[in-house]
Amino acid sequence: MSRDPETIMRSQMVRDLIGTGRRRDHRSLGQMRPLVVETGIIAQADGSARVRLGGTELVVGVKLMPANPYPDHPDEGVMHTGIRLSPLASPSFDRDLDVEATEIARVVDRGIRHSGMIDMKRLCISPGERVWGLYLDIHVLDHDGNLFDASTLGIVLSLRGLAFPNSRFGMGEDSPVPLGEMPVTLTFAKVAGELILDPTAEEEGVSDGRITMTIDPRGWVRAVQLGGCGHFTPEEVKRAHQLARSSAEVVRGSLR
Amino acid sequence: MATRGAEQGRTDGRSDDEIRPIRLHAGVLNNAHGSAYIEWGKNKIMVGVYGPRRPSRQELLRSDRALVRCTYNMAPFSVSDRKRPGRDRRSLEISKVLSEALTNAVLVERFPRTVIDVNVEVLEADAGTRCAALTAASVALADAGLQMRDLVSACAVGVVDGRIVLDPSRDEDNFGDGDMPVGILPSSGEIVLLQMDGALGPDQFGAALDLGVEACRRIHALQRDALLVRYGPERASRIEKPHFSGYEDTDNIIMDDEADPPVWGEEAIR
Repeated sequence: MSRDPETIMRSQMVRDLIGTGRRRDHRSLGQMRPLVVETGIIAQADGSARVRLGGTELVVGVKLMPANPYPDHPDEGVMHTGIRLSPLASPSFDRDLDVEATEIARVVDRGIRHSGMIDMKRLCISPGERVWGLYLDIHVLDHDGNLFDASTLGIVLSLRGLAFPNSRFGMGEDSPVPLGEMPVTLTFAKVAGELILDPTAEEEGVSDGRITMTIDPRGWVRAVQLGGCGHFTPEEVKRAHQLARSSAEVVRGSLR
Repeated sequence: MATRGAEQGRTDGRSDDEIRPIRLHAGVLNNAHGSAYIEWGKNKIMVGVYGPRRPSRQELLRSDRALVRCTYNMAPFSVSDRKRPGRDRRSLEISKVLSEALTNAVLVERFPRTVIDVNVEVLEADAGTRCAALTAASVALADAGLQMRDLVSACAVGVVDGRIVLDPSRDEDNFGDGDMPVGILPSSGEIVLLQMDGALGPDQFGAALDLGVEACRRIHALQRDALLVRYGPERASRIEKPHFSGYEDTDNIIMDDEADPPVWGEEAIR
């Protein structure tokens, strides 16, 4: 990031504001940005959703295709999560982003996988021979921070109403994919000693670290990732956990 | 291959010189300097433009003009079998011909030693993506405020059962006898994109080209309309996000702009 005077002054202003409990977009520190969601937008995908979280916009497409099982899990389906940080999504995406993309995809994958939303054993077609491959692909179109939370939301919404495309592969009638309850991912940035929910790109840019938690419907933590060269006290982490649990309930309620 | 008599219509009921329905919106992304979203039949394509700007690799710079660098990419979920993410030979070639076509439209000599990035993301593909992408890309360049000598308008011509048809659908592309994307600068009528594979007879080639050029002029009118909606007297003051078309009859919008946005995590952290 460039360190020209304007950037430095703007960063200082963002930090100072947050230090007094305010944000540039007039949110409270624990408030998420407005969410707009559309589903069923990609006919070629088995499930799809477009998520706009404030200025962040992404499209998720889900595909189910027969695949080979892993030898150590012969009776379980395989799942792959990928993310494209398209260069059209941000002026800063004009470079190799493999590391950043891999982290986001893996954190989101862990949250979905460990939430039990999908029972991998139900993705088995013939043990040891054929299973369903579940491909979750995230495509970022506009980047204004917090890709973790928007990605999980997009995947969860794409999975709703998902059906095994049996007919496409000559395996009889399509049948619904059994789904558990949805996980919710919440990301906090630490700025000026405060934890702020759903950081914008600008807030991420001035943060002293980031903590992402995926919470299942029982309030259990299913995935955690600390990032952005952050250092958190144990109290701060516990506080983030409490806030994530209460915020997850609100998110879940608003999407039902 | 399914054979159809010449008296029979097209698989989707269009007449031979009919283009699929098109929705084109300019200025749809927040970050990109210019952007456009096009739905052409079932194709769904987003284009974002950055530049003129300094590239991260200086050796790309030309001392006398800007470099128009188009990157065409297909989402893994955009086609029926999941596409492996990343670059492949097809997308590299399309990126190159789109870059070259767009270079003709931009006054590149006004921006020496810079790069203009045109990023094309195909979210759903249903034949004719390069023409749809080129059409949207020139609108996105105009949306970025770049000085241009013209837009680029494009449309493909196909050959099905010996008949020349406009804007072939996926079936016609897969089972037809030829496909020829045509892109023009509408003001001068010059052709800046032309590819073809298949078989076109000596009498057919000229006729197909004429039909393609004529179709491009129809596409040009849509491009003008899209820019007028964005920049004409009735223009919106901010970026307006068009809804994507759903593919089911059901309402695909779970949460709408119109509704009061839900306020989450109201609990103050302090």
